[in-house]
Amino acid sequence: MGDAKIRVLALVPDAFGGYGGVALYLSDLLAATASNDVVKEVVMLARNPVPGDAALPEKITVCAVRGGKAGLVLGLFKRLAYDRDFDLVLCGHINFLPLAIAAKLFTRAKLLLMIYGIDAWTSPDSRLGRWSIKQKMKVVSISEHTRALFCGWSAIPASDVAILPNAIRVENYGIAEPDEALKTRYGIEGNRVLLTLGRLSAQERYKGVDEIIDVLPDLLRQYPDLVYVVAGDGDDRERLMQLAADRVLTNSVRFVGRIDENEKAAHFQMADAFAMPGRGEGFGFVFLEAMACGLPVVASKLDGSREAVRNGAIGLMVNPDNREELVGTIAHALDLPKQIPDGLEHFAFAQFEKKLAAIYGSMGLGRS
Amino acid sequence: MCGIAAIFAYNYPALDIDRSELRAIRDHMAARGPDGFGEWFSDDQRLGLGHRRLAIIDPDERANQPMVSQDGKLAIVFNGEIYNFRELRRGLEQRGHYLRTESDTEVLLYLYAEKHEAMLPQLRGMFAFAIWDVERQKLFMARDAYGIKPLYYADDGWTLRVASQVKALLAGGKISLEPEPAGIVGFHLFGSVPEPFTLYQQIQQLPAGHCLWADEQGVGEPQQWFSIAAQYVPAGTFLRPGEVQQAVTAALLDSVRAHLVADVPVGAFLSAGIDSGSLVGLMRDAGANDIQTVTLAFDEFEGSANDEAPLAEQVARQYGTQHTTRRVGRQEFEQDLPRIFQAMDQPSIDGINAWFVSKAAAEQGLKVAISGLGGDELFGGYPSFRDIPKWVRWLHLPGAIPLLGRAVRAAVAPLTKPLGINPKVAGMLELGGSWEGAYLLRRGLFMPWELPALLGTEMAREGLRRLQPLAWIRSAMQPRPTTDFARVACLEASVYMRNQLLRDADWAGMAHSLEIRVPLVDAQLLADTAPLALQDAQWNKQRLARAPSRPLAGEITNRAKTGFTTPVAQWQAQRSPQTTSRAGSDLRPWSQHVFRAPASSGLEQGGIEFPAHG
Repeated sequence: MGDAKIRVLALVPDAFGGYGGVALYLSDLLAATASNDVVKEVVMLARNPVPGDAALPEKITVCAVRGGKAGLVLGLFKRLAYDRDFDLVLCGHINFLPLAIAAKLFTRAKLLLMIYGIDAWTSPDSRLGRWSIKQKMKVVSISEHTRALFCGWSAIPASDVAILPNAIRVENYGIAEPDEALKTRYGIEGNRVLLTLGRLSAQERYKGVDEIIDVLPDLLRQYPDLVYVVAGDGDDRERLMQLAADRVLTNSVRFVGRIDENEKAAHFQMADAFAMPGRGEGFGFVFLEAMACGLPVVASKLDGSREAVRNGAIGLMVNPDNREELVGTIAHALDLPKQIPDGLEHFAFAQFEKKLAAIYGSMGLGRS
Repeated sequence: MCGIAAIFAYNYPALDIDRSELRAIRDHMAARGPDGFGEWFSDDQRLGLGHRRLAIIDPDERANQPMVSQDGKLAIVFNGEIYNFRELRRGLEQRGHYLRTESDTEVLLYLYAEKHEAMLPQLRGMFAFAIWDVERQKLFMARDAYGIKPLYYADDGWTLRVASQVKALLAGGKISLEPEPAGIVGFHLFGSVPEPFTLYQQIQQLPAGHCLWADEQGVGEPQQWFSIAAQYVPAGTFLRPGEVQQAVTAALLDSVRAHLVADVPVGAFLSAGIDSGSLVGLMRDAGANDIQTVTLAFDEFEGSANDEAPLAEQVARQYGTQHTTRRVGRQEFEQDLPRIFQAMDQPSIDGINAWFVSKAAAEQGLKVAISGLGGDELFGGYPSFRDIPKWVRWLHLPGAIPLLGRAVRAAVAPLTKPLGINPKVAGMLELGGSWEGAYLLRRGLFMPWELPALLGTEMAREGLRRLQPLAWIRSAMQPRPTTDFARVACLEASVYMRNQLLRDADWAGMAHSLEIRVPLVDAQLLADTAPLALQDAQWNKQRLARAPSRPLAGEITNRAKTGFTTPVAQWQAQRSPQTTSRAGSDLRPWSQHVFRAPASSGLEQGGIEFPAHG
């Protein structure tokens, strides 16, 4: 620890204890940053307040700000008023980029932007946003899919965008007998279960739930005991429930709402297969979680989730527009035995840490 | 010569490399290397190299590739020729290295071990290679100064794939077919696809005179190691006019001698022009006495003043070569067209002559042929050397008035078609006042404002935004040359010759397993002659014509000024749908025929749709 000297200023929507894929990714990213020998301190400013009981890794300091974007702006400038000794500004979301550039100007630090999914697939609407992407920076993309789309509209060359997919801590998951109490809660004792887990957003509508409901009658002919469990909440939930009702599928679909983080593994463990044949996944961490619980998974060929299943090597892939393929592949997944696939360990946290250290090294931030 | 392939699964979540994919990429290039093939894989299966060989130097099997250094620390695949390899080899031996083969490939391995990328300026020749450095776990790739040999790579963020041809990469089946608007727009502006772009977003050409590193962190930015423009710097000493010719002759002879290094016979393409004739004369001076020459002639011209065959035969007699005149007719053109499109790696509006002359040379059993390509760029043979400086002088001031040029173009452009005048006229004021703009006018196929009608508004706008054609052309004059001649020479060598002529020579020659050597495209020759070009008021093709000890006859040296034509343009025009404007280049309709032929662009398989003709 003798030569730890790098100070990092992180602007993030949320991290430790936050909800959703971005928060999870940023938690890992900040943890891996803090665990790097050359890093002395990570000062984190989050738009959404960090819960008091969140476990924070060593070397991470939360700079308390009032919630919301205005609170973040204010908090940042208050901090910069007395503390500008940073070597790296870590911008946790493309929406914060103008703010991160301001921080970079004040601190003369290097800038690293994180990009995930649809947030970075098209050019920002605002003039400020478009200006900000022309500044000099390094970028970390969660997937090649996102990188290709991002490089397509921005002028940033692919060589300035490193790819760092989600990490999975396999030890937190594992194959286990279904939790009968949970199945009872949903009234699916003795049923075969197909699971989707994701935010149900009316604006995005990309998780492939529509497509699965559409082919469910075909699947029910093959597996009369099948129940489709949709976990997650959002403003599209009502419409999807109505869709299931219109198709007279109410008995075969359960919308179970948002799941508590500590019950997540149990939900995977009670299912027989996981499917999310969508169009808008930046990477699809949830696939790694499902696989870490031994579930056969069905990902989409049309988005970043193909990378989560390593291009078909550890999970199945379908074109969600192809109805026949969808039915066949989900049916196949339901028949497969539970098994944690060989090759999932490529996404281990240690690999993530190593790659991130190499990215910092390539930016001239201490040893790689 | 050869075809090279590499796959490097550099990112930790990437799958181990797929051997059958490497073989598919490699074997798509079978014509580039019919004499042998090989593959090599790293112990951890994260890297594979593939090679197809056309054996020219040390044809023995011991020189097959991929070649691994004796200590097992380096593995290489190499396409091209290092003409000074014997000299480099001697240096290595003096420094205590023991080399097992007589090949230039092995020399590259040892030079890399000594000095990594600093080896590149020492190499005289044409090359594209990839070296896997086992100890550093890095892949090093490099391309020659002028970009004679191609090197394409595709990085999908997980795995890097490298090959000598775009179509070979596609044959592996793992590359996204997403079209690259900059490549598509570039083809329509220039008639060839401008590097580093290709028609596919994922595939890039490593730019000429650049090298590239890749390691577990990913693929870096290409680094430039050679600039043509940087050679055009005034020499410290001035030569008297008589001494200039002496110096030019010595430099030319040196290059030709270097280009004769081979363990198989080296033939030559011979036309009725100065470039090829002088080279054959210089080959004699360099000691080659059993030269096979090949001339391409056209049935349509037989007996007419346009027929090159009689004059070429005269040159052949003068230098005592074994000469063949190969006649080609319309019917053969039609017959070969599907194969031509198949062989064309990226769409090009030219290359038909190169196809037939390579075919003729291969029929004569030649594996290597010298070509006069590059003479016009080096000695100012194109009309552009006269026109562009004139336009820039006249239009520089009026062109500087804000918005005037655009307004004139917007007013005039719609009138060019009904009036049947060249569409370029509309852009004279807007573009003609800058070097890059004038060059686009001189060499352009379609003008930027014509693209929306051809490609659709979205594709045209996106392609222009990504390509930035004027800035792209301007980059050829970096650092800025001081004379008019030097500026045009840099533009012609870096834009037209590199992206059009050299690419055509590569695919057309390779399709017939023929190595085309270009002594007038040589970094050493450029370094020797560029300072002379800056100080010599008489710098033109006559300098080349006077170089052989027995100079070319007056019929040849004077004829060249009138230029010569081939019926190929006519055949092309007859094959093309007559739906685009008749004004402008004859090649405009042909370009559309090429571009929309699935075999040449492959884009239709990628599923992109273009607006209908007309």
